[in-house]
Amino acid sequence: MNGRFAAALVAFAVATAVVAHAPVRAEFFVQLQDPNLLAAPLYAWLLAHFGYAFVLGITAAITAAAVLLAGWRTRSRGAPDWYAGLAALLAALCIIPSLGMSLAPIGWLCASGFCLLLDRDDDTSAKRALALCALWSFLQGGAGIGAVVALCAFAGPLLSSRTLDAAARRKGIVALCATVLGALQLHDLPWHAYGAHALYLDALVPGAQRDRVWSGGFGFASLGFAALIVVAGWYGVRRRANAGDALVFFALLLLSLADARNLPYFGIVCAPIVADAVASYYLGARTFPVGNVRAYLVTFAAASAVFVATLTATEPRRAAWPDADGQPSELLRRLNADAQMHRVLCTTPRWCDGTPSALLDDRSGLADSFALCVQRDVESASGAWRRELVRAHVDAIVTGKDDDVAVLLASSGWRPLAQDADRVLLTSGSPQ
Amino acid sequence: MKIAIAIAAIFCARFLVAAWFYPGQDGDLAWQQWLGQQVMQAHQLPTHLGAETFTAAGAHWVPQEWAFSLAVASTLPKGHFGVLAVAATLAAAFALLLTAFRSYRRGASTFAVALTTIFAGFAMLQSFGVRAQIFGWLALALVLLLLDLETPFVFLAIPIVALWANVHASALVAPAIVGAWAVGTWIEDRAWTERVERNFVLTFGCVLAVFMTPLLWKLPVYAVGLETSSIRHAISEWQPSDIFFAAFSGGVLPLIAICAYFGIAAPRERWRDGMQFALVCVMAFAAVRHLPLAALVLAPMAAQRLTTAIPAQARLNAILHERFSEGLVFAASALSVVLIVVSLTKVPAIAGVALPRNAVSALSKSSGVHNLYCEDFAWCSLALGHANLRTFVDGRCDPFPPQVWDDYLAVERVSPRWSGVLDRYAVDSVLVKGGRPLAQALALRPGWRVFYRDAKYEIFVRDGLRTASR
Repeated sequence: MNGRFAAALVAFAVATAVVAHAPVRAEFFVQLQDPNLLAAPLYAWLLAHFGYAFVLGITAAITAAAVLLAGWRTRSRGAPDWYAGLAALLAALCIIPSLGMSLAPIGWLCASGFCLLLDRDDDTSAKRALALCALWSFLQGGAGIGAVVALCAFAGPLLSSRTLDAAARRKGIVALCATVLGALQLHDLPWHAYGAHALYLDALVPGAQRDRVWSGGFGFASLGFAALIVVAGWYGVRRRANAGDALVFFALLLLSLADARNLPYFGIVCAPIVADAVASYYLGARTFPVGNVRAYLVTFAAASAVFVATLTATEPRRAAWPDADGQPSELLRRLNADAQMHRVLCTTPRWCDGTPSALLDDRSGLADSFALCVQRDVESASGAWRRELVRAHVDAIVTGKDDDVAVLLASSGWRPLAQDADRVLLTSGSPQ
Repeated sequence: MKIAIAIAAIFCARFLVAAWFYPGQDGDLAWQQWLGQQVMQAHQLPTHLGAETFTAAGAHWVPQEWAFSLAVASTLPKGHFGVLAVAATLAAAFALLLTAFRSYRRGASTFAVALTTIFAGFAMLQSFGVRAQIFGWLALALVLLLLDLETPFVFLAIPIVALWANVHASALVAPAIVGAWAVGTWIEDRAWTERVERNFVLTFGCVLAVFMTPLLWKLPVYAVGLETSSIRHAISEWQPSDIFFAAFSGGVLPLIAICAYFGIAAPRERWRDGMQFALVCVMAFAAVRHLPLAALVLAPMAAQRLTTAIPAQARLNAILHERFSEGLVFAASALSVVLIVVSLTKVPAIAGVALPRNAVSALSKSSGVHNLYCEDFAWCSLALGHANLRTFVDGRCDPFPPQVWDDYLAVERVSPRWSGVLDRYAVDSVLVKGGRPLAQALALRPGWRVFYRDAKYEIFVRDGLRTASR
């Protein structure tokens, strides 16, 4: 890879570091509470021994590595550096809205590496892909994405050639194993599974937290998404005659539309496909990268080490997680300090992601389909929502100060216990 | 093309049923009728809101749907609304047929034309009604056809856009779409050719055309201002598209997917299509109301590219060309038309009356002049015809100042200051849907009582009902 591409990636790494410095994502605390995700205790250990800045630096380096791998994947398909840069740019645009402290970058890196290995059609790569998928399912909750990608990579060529040759069988085995790994990761129903998720499809259930790519206005999420679609529309994802590429593209497109938390995966996995399609239009011959991958790896590791060391040295040491961005942490702490036990409901489900552990047992008691029904009805103040609150033994509600629920509850005897700039914590005064 | 006609006939039946019963579904017709009558009486367009509203009397108003409002006022009160319903239906059907014809002209196979026509029809279905923008769909289809023809007749697009601008402000997308086409030809030709020059002149002509209304420069200024207006958040059609919208997931998304699979610009050097694709993709994702426009642009591109996978001589297309197959499709189409008309006329959601006419009528019969707040501002359009009712915000919505909108939304969302807003504006009657948060809040609030209640709606009035002189 030449200097231009390296410079672009360094710029992205710096931007990542800058942006990642600000927010801790609310879902990070959900991921931390999942006993099956090994990255959570690992991060906790790193925090205790090296401080928050170190973990943040590692997260930023992992994010940059995921983008780097997306570019490398484009390059390994025979597209020149400029197209690898395009892939990195498109992937970066899709990632930017989700930047911050969470376990998600581990998933992005695993997805990028998994796709790179799937592109190589040999036994060794297949085994490595499976090993990576297993590692992914141990570390982070999005291994289901790997299963989707592997299934598409298997089904695409099979649909085209309609023959189950050795390569197809190999991909079939990878797809099967990745599916099992992805399914096993869901150790419970999605809404019980804490950090693991079923491709965020549970977000489509009314009452569940859902993020949309296009939620009004034009931000990085919509820009990255639109850029990928438009470039794909111009050049066509079938240009390399690889039906697997097209299937992956459309599967992840739909997943992104289902929930925007899948958008980084769409960018990481599909940007190389799209950039490759662009290259195939303008290029007669392909040039495959030369050089030692291990040397590149060492260079990147060294650069990351310097970056992490600088960040750790320059930032004040803190051995506790900061509050998540946009969370009503103070309100929940106030409730947690109460001597009585409470069952808390947040009208925006994400607000409860930072719920202190003392309240979690109560919250999980609500985590079933009835809870989603209560959540939906209370959020819209519709149906028999007051009776449902009583049935669910909810005695504390975090809601927006301007929300109708706040006014309706206040007029029926609930009292405000605490409030911040935008939200209010109301309690019924009859704890369970 | 014959099969596309059969498909268009099915959508036409569906459009007609929706159009026929439209007065019972959409409150906008009420204010459009009122505006049309005002124009006919005064022989000029109103420029300000009058005493029919108590929150924003005197506010500047750009009545951009004046021509359509005249049509409503000329037909609805005289019982001739069917004429307008048929006209809207034909406009939508012709837009669909013209789109199918563009696909056919581009050499698309029978199957490709039929499939993309179905997708375009689905994209139009959700937004269809007896509304001004429906005539905009037809205008856009005509402009796109002229662009495709690439003859000197392309300049007919300018009067078409001017007509469109007089019917609806959505005409402002025309210069953007023609401009994208012009940029595309420039990329294709890689030089300032005669064709490129003609297309840029046409773009300039279309820009001028949107000024050719009685509102002159006010229309484009209004339309551009609407892009950043806070009222967009309160209007469902301005919300971003989502997979739960049938028009998106069953109409535009499949068209985008076909384009993204085959590639519409590079393989055949059609950057004209490429530029338009980029523009309408963003528009389609950004707002639901753009979905039909996007489908009309995308369908022929998708059909043309689909034909590369299923060419005209493919077995599927050969079967569709057989006389027996055509007969079968036409018979199925005719049967579908009959079934749609018979079944949908019995569906309350389409053929019933969803508007609170009785509630508004009951309030108007009570003595005095009432300051009415409607939970859905469109319902208040029904009050415009009653001399003793004044509205907080009604279906004209655009001219109401941002402060009034903020206050309207504070009440609609039952924010803590809702009752303060009602007091400040001296609102004495509130029209709500039963069971909704505002109805619950009013029921709990001392000083308000139920004045009217039916199966769907309630009117709350203040205990000591005050009246005001108008």
